[in-house]
Parts: sequence; structure tokens; C-alpha cells
Amino acid sequence: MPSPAIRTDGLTRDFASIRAVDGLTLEVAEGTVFGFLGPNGSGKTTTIRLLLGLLAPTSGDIEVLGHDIRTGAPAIRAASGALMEHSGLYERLSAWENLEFFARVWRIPKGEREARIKELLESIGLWDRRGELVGTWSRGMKQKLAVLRTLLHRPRLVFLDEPTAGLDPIAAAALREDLLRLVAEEGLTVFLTTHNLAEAERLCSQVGVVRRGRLIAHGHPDEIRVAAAGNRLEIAGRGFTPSLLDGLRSRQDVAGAVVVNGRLCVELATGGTTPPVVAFVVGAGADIEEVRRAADSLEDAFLNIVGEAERDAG
Amino acid sequence: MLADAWIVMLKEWREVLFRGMGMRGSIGFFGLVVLVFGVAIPARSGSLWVTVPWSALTAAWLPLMLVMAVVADSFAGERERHTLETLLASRLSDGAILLGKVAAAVVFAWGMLLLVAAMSLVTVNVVVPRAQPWLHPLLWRWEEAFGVIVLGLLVTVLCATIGVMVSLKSETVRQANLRLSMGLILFFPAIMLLFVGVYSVMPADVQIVVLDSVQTWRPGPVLFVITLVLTAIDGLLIWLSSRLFVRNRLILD
Repeated sequence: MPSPAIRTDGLTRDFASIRAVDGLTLEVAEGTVFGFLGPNGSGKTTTIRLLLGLLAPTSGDIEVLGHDIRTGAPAIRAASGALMEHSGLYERLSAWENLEFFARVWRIPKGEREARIKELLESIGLWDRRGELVGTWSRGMKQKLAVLRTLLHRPRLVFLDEPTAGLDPIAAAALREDLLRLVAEEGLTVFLTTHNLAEAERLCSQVGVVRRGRLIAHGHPDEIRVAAAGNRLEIAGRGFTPSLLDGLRSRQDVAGAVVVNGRLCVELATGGTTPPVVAFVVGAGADIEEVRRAADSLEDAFLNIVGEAERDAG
Repeated sequence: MLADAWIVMLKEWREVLFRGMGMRGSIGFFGLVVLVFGVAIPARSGSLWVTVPWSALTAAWLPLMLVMAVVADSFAGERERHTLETLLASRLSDGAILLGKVAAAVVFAWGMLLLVAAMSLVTVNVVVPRAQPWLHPLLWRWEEAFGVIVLGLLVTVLCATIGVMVSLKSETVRQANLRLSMGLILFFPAIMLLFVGVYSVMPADVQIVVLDSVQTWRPGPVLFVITLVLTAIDGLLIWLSSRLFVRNRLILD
């Protein structure tokens, strides 16, 4: 089994009396796009800084691309690309000069350097504007260029800290499209922080939900949505009569039943499972076309999960 | 590390020197420095420029001004423009980033000093009429040449290292500039007061010896001591700045 690109164990970071990251245990498989979701101030940026060795952990272990952070931080940075909170571009330099500087930093040989910059700038339609000062560009263009900068040296792992934050919906969608294509082309691992749930749903194959530095949910976006939706069934078909509803409501494994827009929605009680309920509905004479576990949007799921954690915290 | 420091230095020049003031502004500024200190003042001084030794050493303060033009921006500028974290997240080592920033100021200021010094000698040789000027060029003695080249470099390293440390601890370029200007304003009166204070407590016969050695200019041993002291101070400051440059702390700042 291949080793994970990122592995943390009990990772904790304190700033004076504030615990920014609290016992984070996480694995990100190589080749996946991992979304790290959380409200503002939940420790997402601090986690990226810890993973890059820009901050030292208070306690816990970090292994990135097989390197321990305590001894291998330079090797981790050498094999990674990072777009932090700000684009980090030199606004007094042109797009070409920005990429050329970083290509030199990553020691890309001269001939390859120019070809690579051209390839990347052409891929997002900015080749003709390579001589313009970055300071004169829109925020969307700057973010695109900053994403290219992270990919310049063909890293194995890329950290993107809220790459679409502050962009208008059109620019954000365009950046997401470019990002998806580039990630597929380059075949890399991406660690993406965002509080844009639609973005996470679109881009990520795995997500982790973090609140106040603690990981409170982790898995595929669909698993998160289903888990957060609770024990609900949606049954499409015909023959959902009032007597069928009464029969369902009287069962111990059903907490509630209602027909919405012609669909029978059943809330299972704790411990309730799908097959006996479906058998009861069929036995009551209903014709079933489809049965599925109900799922909220990832955004609803996120709000549920964070809200529950908030209530549990008191 | 040296190759990486070179990359940082070139970026720094391109960004701060040429784009900071605009290409025309930069050429105008540097041209003016060369014209004033390499042409106008030596032309007015004539042969005194090479015969009165103190005139050569007046150039020693030039790096101070030139370093100021670059150094405040080094880290404070990166921090203010939100590029520092990206630089720190790159594969560059701490040493390469720091050395690149210091070298950008040193090579620029020292290079300008040498250019101005060379221009001044050319100017003096052109404007002073004499027979067979190519056979008997007007040149500084070794002491003055040593003062300009070696002490000029040591003073430049001193200024650049202090400047980078101030910039490292400043949130904005404005703050760094303010701190450096205040330091500069206090520095010269402090040195003057120190000299006057030491001179005033000397016995009368020692005062006469000191005055005599300054007036007759026998700088050999003095230059040796100054070089040693400046080298030691430079080494100490470079070590100190490397201790101040800690990625973790820079992020928290």
C-alpha cells in the first residue's frame, strides 16, 4: 500500500493560551484532492504552515511525502508548491518575471524553464499578457498566475489556501475549471483549504471538516453529506396512502413519515434499517420505483456538523 | 547556497532598484549620484582630490546613503506586500534568502562607490592641466585606495547588515525607513560627541600628538586597526542577523 502524502498524528499548535490546532490526526492519500473545510479561524492556515514547516508544532507528529517535519522540512518544501492566503506575487514584476524568478528558485534548467513557463501561461490563456506588470492585473488573473507558480516545478504536492477567496463567481468558476484540468494533467496531490462548500464538492475526492482546530468529520463528500443527513429514506413511487403513513408511524423503527412532492420521506428511529421498512411499504400495496438514503448538500452537511460540534462544546 | 543567494539578489535589484523608482527614475538617480560625486565635486577640488587624503575618505559615507535606498525594502517590503510567506514556503534556505538580501544592498552600494571613485580619478586627471598626463596620472596613495576599496566594502557590509536587521523587525517599509533615518540622525552626533569627549579628556601633550598625526596623515597603523575592528563588527552582525532570521518567528511576526 503506498504511503500517504500527508500523515499527522495528534498534531497540536498553541499560540499563547489559544489552541489553533488541536490533536489533528489525518491521512491524505497520494494523488487525491483533499479539501480541508472549516469556518474562519478554525486552524486551516495554521495547519498548512505546520505541514510546510513554517511553524513548529507544539506537540504531535507530521510526515509529508515521507519526510518527518522536524528533520525534513527543507525536503518537504522542495517537493511541494504553495499558494498561501495571499497570491505572493511580485506586483512590480511582470508575469514572466514572476514565473522566471520562481523557476530559478526551483532550479529548472534554462531551456526547460522557458518552455515550462510558456506551456503553463498558454494553458490558461495568459501567454499574450506575460510582459504586463502583475500589479495591473485583476485579482482573478493574479490568482490564476499564483496557481501556475505553485505548479511550475512539477511538485508532488500542492497546498492551496482558499484559492478562490475574494473572487467573483465567474472568476472563481474559471479558476476552478483551470485547477481541475491542471491537477488532472499534472497528477499531483492537492491539499486545499476552503469555506466554499460547492468548490469542495466539485474539486475534492476527500474532505475533512475542522472546527476550532479539531477534525470533526472526514471522508468522501458523499459520505459526509449522507452522514450529516441522518437516517432518512426517500422513496419514489405510487400508492402512499394515509393508512400506509399511519402504519409506518406506528412502527418502532420509524421516527416519522411524510409525503413531500409525491415522495415518501421516512425518518428512521435509532437502530432502524432500510430493508424492513421497504418490505412494509411494499406489503402495504405501494409501487416503489426508487429508494435512496437522503443526503443534504455538502453545505447543509457542513452547517449541521459544525452546528452539532458547537452545541456539544456547550 | 551562493547560487540561490544570487537569484534572490537579482530579483531584489529588479524589483526594488529598477521597478521601485521606475526605470527612468532609477537611471536619473544613479546618474545624478555619479555626476555629483564622481564628476562635479572632484572637478571642483582639482588636484586636491588626490593630494588631500581626507577627500578620498569622504566617499566612505556614500554607501550609507545608497544602502538606505535598497535595504529598508528587503524584508519589510516583502512583509508589507504579502510575498514573504511565499518566499519562505519555497525551497530557498534561510541563509540564501538572508545572504541574497544583504548582497543586493552591498554589491549595489559598493559597486556604485567603486564606480564613483574611478570616475572621480578620471575627472581629476582630465581637468587638471599638466605635462604628459598619461605618464604621470594623478592617483591616490595606497592608503587612500585601501580606504575607499576595503573600508568602503566593510562599511557597506556594516550598513547593509544593520539595515536588513531593522527591516527584518519592521512591519512596513515606512517603519523601517523611519527607524533607519532616526538611527542615522543619532549616529553622526553620537560619533562626534564620542570623539570630542575622548579628545577633551586627553592630556594636552597627547592632544598635540593626535592633532599632528591627523594633519600629517600617517594612516597605515590606523587603517589596520580600523579594518580589524570593522571586520569583527561585520562578522558579529552577520552572525546576529542569521540568528534573527528564523522562519517560525518571521511567520508569527
